[in-house]
Formats: sequence, structure tokens, C-alpha cells
Amino acid sequence: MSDDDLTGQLTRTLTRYADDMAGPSLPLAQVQGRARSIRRRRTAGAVVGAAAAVAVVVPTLALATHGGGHRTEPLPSTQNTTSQTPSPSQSGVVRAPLDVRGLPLGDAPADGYLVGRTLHLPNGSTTRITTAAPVDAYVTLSDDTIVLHTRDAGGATAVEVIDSHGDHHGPYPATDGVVVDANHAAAGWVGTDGHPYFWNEAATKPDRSDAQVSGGSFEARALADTCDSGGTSPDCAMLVRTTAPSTGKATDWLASLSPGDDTVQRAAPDRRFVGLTDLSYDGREIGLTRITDTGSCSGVAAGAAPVTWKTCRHTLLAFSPRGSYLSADVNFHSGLGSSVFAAYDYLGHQVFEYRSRLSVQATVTRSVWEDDAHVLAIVYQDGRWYVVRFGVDGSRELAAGPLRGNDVDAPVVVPGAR
Amino acid sequence: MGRPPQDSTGGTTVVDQRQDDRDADFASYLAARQPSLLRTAYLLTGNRHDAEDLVQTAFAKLYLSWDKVRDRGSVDGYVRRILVNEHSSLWRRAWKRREHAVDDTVLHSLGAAHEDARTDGSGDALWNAVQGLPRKARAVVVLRYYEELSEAETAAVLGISVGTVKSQASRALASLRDRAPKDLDPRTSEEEDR
Repeated sequence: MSDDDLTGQLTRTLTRYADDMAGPSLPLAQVQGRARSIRRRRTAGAVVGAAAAVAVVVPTLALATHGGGHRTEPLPSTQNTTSQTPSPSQSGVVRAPLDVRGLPLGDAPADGYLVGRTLHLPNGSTTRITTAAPVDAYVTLSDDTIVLHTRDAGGATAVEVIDSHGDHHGPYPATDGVVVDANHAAAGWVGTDGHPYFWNEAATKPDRSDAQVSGGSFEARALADTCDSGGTSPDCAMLVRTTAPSTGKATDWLASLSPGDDTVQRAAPDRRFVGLTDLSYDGREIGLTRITDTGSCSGVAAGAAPVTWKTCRHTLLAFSPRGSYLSADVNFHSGLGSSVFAAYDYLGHQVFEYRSRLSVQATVTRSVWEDDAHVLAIVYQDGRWYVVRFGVDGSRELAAGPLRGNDVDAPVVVPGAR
Repeated sequence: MGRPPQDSTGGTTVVDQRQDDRDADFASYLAARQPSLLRTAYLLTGNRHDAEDLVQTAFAKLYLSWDKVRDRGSVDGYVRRILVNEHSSLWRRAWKRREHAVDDTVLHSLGAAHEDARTDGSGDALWNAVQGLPRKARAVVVLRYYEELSEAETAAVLGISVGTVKSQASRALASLRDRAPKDLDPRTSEEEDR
């Protein structure tokens, strides 16, 4: 059959099926009701998807001893397959040492992971990638496009893209961070020119926003939840942090990504927070409320309301995708990794806390919520790197690794982890 | 902020009047465009329930952006773009789990398509094969061969390049040709359509 025959047949078939379709008329009130529901999810122009927005990227205290530049190679796994769950304390909080040796082997990370140049895909297969510089972060889109953030030996950063057909694009000059919206429909980064860029599913080149941030270094921290219409939504925005070179002062901005809209506005301009860390899909915010020479406090607020609850025991990091739980780490970031990893429920009740001891020292360097009940953390302990799945029920299991490596450069990258 | 100005008849404010005018304007558009948008949504989703839900969401998003979009004079293109992308988005919401489920459905539907072709005619087989296409390719097919948009217009709706539209369409046609029954004869279907 020729293309003309087939396309003609297609048009007739689609028309025949479409013509059979007639529905009851949609009343305006019903549309307005749905619109109100959508609007509730967008608060004060600052609704940011939680799935990819994870963690303040501040180097934290290194407790582990130096592992000493071993070659990265997988070690044989000898674990059993039953996840390990420490007993909860009387308060219901699971507290245990941050010790990830000998955990049972669980499923690989749901969105895959990268070790060196080898990409482990969600379906269990592997593929080699060839980027101009090592990958330090990446995100995946739902059409299997992979957006890679690279950093060369001199610290120069860029973005390269492997689209769903396997075609390679870039490198594109970029600053810190690559982010993805909650639906994995678009990825974004900030160019060295201060413009946010984003890459939609099935795209062949990045789109540049007319918005532009200025004043120091930039970091893309999250994409708005409302970017799910291919960047056309009037509320599509990127959360960008700028850091002044002279003072180190960080400021958070929301930069519009919508065509023809070049607005940049302060995120959380009401001074409840000194810095914004994450926002849930339903408009709640995590922010730092106070930073001192010895610690910090983090809080949660909804929309423009006052801070609902806060803690000075940990630094709150990220909402789970549905906002039911929050990950957290040490309350004072000053080195390479956190000696503490914790989680809270949305009401502020702690659900687990794993803490290094003098005799058992491990550090968590990055983390990302895998789903609403599990958070993946990249952990260094005794010269090896582990990807550990922490359940909100206190369970723990190994998702990838262990891999030999020094305590500075994690040999494994988990998509979305920061 | 001061009180909104009152009109001379008392009661209704200028702001209220503007909102009423806006809603009336939107309601006219809704009534006029809903049937055709529902047909497109049905082709994208393959079932009535999802199509109606998709159309409602697309119009709700349009309602929120009405002033901005109306002034740009590009309402039809905008709402169509919302519809198509929202379809992908709805599909994506639980994309990991559903991907497997859809794959299974596709396999079953393709099997059924071949059976249907032998008993009910080529149209049903082709319809099932279209529903088995990946969502983006299906959107390209619907926009190109039902809406009869040009490649450039299709690219604009989907927010992708013309080259990608060409390659997606070409791949979709090849896939349909492979999946459709070998004895599919367009001339027979033409006669059936008359």
C-alpha cells in the first residue's frame, strides 16, 4: 500500500470514529470548578514540582575516612533479599546508626542510574554514553530522553542531551543544576547567559526563555509543576538560585518559561524564609528559617500562611512526590556529605533518623524521592559507595552498589538526585 | 487597595461586569468549540470517558489563561496544544507503572486488530493500530490526518520541530503499515464508507 493510500484510509477511518463521538454539553460552571481545582495547586506563582526538586546543594561535613582513589568497580553482592527494618523507638521513630554495610539487595533504582559512562536503564539493560565531560547529574523524560549535566576537570559545566531516538545534542553551556518537572515532560537548566533553557519531550533543540537572571553564579533548582503543557503554560517557571560572588548571599527567583513572558520575580519574598529549598505540588514550601554559625532551622509553610512547623534538629530537604513526607539531613552543612539522614511526615513528626556514630561513620551526599514512600540516598562508607533505598516505614535495602571509590567523587549518579 | 468603582445603577461593580463579560465570552467559545475538541480528544484517548475528562481539563486551563490567550488571538491553537500535551501529561502521571500496562494493552489490541480485520473490515483494524501507537506518534497522526494540519502547524501544536513531525509521521505510517493486516485494501474501505 502506498503512503497516499494509507493516509487516505487513515483520514477516513479517523473521521468515521470521530463523527460517532458526541457528548453532553459541558457547562461553564463545570469548567470553572475544574479551573478552581487547578488553581488551588498553583499558589502565589510558586508551585514547583517536588519529584525532582531535592536538597540544598551545600557541601556538608565529611565524617568518613579517606578511601584513597581506588578504581571504580562493582563489588560482588552477597546480600539476601529481605529488606532490613530496625525496630521503632517508643515514640514510633526508627532510630539507628547510619550503617549501610550488608543491607539486603532490593530492586535497582526505578529510573535507572549511571556508573562512569555506563547507563543502567530502568528495563535492566545498559548502554554506553559518550559525553565531552563526566556526568555529575542527569534527569530523564518520559519519552526516554536523557538530559545530562556535565562538569569537566576545570569545573566548567554543560548540558548534553540524548533524545529518544538515541541522537546526541549539545554540549550547551550551562551553570549548576539540571531539573525536571513532576511529570517528566520537560527538563531545564540555566545557561551561562542567565537565561533558563528547557528541553521538551521529542524536542531537537533547547528552548530559551526570555527571562534572565543576573548577579553572580546561578543554579537551576526546580521546574514548576505547571510546565506539563510543553512549556506553553502561562505559569511555567523555573526556580533559580543566584549567589553573589562577593558576599556569598543566595537569592531565589522564579523565572518564567512561557513564550513572550520574560518576568523574573523573587521566590518567597515575604521573609518567612531566608532561602527556599523545595515546594510541593500543592503549594507548600520548605525553606530555611534561620542560619547560624553552628546550625540552621528549616520550616514548612503553605502558600502565604505562616510557617506551620519547623525543626532545628535537621535541615529539611525535599517533599516526596505527593507531599506526604519530607527528607532531611544534618542541620549544619560544612563539608562533603551529611552524617545524618532522616524523614518527617507532613505534620512534622519524625519517621526515621539514621545517624553516624564515632564507631560507624557514613555520609549521605545526595538523595531523591523515588516514590511517595521511598527515598534513594547515595551513601559513602568505608571506601565504598552505596545507593540505599530508605522506606518511610524504616526499611532499608541496597538499590545499587557497592562501588569502590574515594570519599569525594561518587562513582554513581542517580537521576534527579542532588 | 481601594474599593472597586461602582457603576451608576448601583450594586454591580465594573470589576463584576468585566468578569461577567469575560465569562460570557468564554462560554460562547466553549459552546462553539467543544464538539470538535471532543472528537479530537476521542481520537487521542480512544475512549469516551477519558476524552470528556481531557476536554474539561483543557477548557479549565484555557479558562485560567483566557485573558492572556484571547488577546493574543490564538485561542484555537492554544487550546489544541493544551489538549494534546495534557493527554501526554495525563498518561505520564503514573508513567512508570502504566507504561507496562499500556504496553500489554497495545499487544492485546494489536492482536485483536488483526482478528477484526478478517471479520469486520480494515477500518477497525486501522483504528486499533492507531490506538496502539505511542502517544506522541498518535498525536502526530491525529493532527496530520484527521485535523489535516500542515507539518508546520502540527509542529507548533506539539512544540516540536518540523523535522521531528516528519520523522514521527513517517515512523508512524511505517508502523501502521506493518501492524495493519496485509490484505488491507483501501479501495474496499472506500466502498464501505460510501
